[in-house]
Amino acid sequence: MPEHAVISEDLSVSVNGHEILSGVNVVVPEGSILLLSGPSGSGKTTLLKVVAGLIPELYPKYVISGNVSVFGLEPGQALREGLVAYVPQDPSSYFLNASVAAELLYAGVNTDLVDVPVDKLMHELSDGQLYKLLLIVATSSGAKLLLLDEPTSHIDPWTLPLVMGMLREFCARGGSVILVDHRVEVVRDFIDAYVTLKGREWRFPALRSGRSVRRDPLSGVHVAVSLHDVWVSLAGRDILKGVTFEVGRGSVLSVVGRNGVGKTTLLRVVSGLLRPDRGIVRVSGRVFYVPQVPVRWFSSDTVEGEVKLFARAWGFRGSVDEVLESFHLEGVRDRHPFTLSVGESRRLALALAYVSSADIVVLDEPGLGLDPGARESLVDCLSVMMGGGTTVLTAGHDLVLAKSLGDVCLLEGGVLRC
Amino acid sequence: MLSLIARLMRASSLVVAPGYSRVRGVPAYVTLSFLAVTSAALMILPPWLLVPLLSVLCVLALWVRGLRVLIATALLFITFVAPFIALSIGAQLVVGSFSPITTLMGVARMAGLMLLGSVVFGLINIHELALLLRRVSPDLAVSTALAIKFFYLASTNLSRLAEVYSVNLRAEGFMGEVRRLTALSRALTYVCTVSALESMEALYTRPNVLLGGVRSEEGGRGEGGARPTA
Repeated sequence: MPEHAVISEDLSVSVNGHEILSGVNVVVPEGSILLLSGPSGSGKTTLLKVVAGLIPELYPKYVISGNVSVFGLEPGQALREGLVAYVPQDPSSYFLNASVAAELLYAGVNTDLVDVPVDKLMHELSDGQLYKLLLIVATSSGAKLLLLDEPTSHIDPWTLPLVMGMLREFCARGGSVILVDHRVEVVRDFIDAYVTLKGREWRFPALRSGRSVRRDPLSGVHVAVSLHDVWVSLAGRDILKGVTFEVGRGSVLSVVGRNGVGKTTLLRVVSGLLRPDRGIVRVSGRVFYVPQVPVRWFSSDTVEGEVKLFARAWGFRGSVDEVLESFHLEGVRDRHPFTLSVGESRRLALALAYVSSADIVVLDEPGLGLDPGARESLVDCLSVMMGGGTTVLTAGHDLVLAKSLGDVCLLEGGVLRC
Repeated sequence: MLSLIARLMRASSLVVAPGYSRVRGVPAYVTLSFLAVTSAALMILPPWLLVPLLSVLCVLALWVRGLRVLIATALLFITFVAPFIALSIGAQLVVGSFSPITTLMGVARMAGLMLLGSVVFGLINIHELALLLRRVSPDLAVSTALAIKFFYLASTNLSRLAEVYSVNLRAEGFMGEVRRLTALSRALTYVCTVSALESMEALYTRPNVLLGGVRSEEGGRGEGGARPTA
C-alpha cells in the first residue's frame, strides 16, 4: 500500500508549444489536505486535471513529461478504479441529471442529510448550492482522493467551516484532498500543507488618468436605484421579504449573504429580469448586468472584436484602444474571450459596460475565482467607473471584497439588513 | 423578442430536464421500451384508439411530471407546432382538399408525441441509461447521455444568455434586432461547446457510469454501479 496519495516528479505540461507547468514536484500524503495556490494562469487547474486523469486522456494535445502517480497508479487508471473524484471551478454543467433528487439518488446519498433543496432543478440552484451538491456527491462516491477547484469562491464564509470540517472527517477516514484556491488565509486553519505555483505573476499597470468625460444622463438625480418593500416568491417560497434600500448615483452597494439566500434574485429584480410580487422598484438609468453564470457570455472571436461590437451598438465615440488599456485587456486583445481567465472575463464585461455608457452596473459574485491581483484590478476598474458617475450594485459572499468596494448590506432569510 | 426566447427556454428546460419527475427508479430499459411502443402506436393507431391513448398520456404526464411541466409542454406545443399546423391547414385550403378529420388526427399524433417526450424525459436517468447502453457500446452510451443532457443545457444556456443580451445589448430597428440575435446565436454556440466539454468531463469522472467501475470494494460501486432504491 503506498503511503502517498499523489506523487508528482518534475512534471511539465505544455499545449501547442505553450508551457503551462514546468518541473512541478508535489507530494500528498494519505489522510492530508494540500492547498495548491498561485496566481491565475499559473497552471493550478491544469495540474488538478492531470492528477484527475482528464489530461491528456480527454485532451490529447497536451504534452506531459515527468511522472505522476495516484495511489501508485497512472492517474487515468486511478480514475477508472474510482479512487479519484473531481469538482471543477465552474460547476454549472458538471452534473449528469437535471434534477437534484435524481443526482443524489444515483450517487447513493441520503437526501435527508443534504442541505440542498432536493426538489429543484440543477439550474435553479445557486452556484454555491450546486458546488456543495457536487462536493457531497464526490465525498460519497467512494473515492479516496478529492480534487476541489476553488471551493472558497463558491461556498459562503458561514458554511465554509462546515465544509472544511467535512473534508477533515474525510481525511480522518483515510481520504486525501487537494484544494486549488487563491485564498490561503481563509483555509489556512484546515489544511496540512500548501504549495504555491509561481507561474506568471501579473502586475497591472496603473489606470490611466484624464479619461474622456462621459455623458451625464442622470444630472440632478441623486438616487440611482431604489427598492421599497419588495417581495418576491419563487416556487411558493418567499425569497425576498420587504427588501428596502437605496443606492446613490456614483456609489456602490454590495449585498452579501449565504449561498441560495436570494442575492441573484435581488439583482435580477434590479435588472428588470424579474418582476417583484409587490413593492416599488425605481431604477434611474440604464442597467448593465454581469451574470455569475455563464462566466463567459461573449459572442466575438476576439476581445477587441467584442468591445467593438458593443461600441458600435451603443454609439461609443471614444477609442477602443484606450478602453482595452484602461481595463487591462490590451495584452489579451487578440485572444478568444472564452480562453480568458475569470478575472479577465470580469474586466471585459466591465469594459463592455463602460462602452455602453451604462448608468448602473450590476455584478453577480464579482470575486468569483479572482486571485489577489485580479481582485485589485477589478476594484480599480470599478472605482474608475464610479468616478464617472456609474452606480455599482454587487451581490456575493466575499465580505473582504465587498468591504473594499464600499457599503455592505447583509441579506438573511429574505430580509436585507444595512 | 429576447424576453420571449428566455421565457420559452425556461419552459423548455423544465420539459427536457432528464430525471425531473415525481416518479423515480424506473429502469432505463422499461422507459426505452415504453418510448418505442408508444411512439409506434401514436403513428399507426386508428382514430378511435388514438383519443384514448392521448387521454392516457395526458394523465400519465400529469402524474409523472406534474402540472407545472404539463403547462410548459403545452406552451412549447403551441409555440413550435401550432404554426406548422396552421400552415398545413392553409396549404390544404389552397389546394382545395381540406380534411378536418385528417388534420385533427395529425394534431393529436403530434400532441401525443410531445406528451410522450415529456414523460420519457422525466423518467430517464442518465446514469441508468448510460449503464444500459454501455453494454452495446461505450461510444453509444456517451453520445446518448450527452445528447439528452444537451437538450437541457442548451435550453438553460439560451435562457440565461437571452436575459443577459436583452439587458446589455441595444437593438434599434430590424437590423439591430438581427445583429443582436446573431450575437446571441454565436454566444450560444460558444457556451454550448464549453458545456459539452464540461459534460464530457463529468461523465468521464463518474467511472461507474462510463468506464465500467472496476473497483468493487466496500462502499464503492462495482461493475455496473449499484442502483440505490428509491
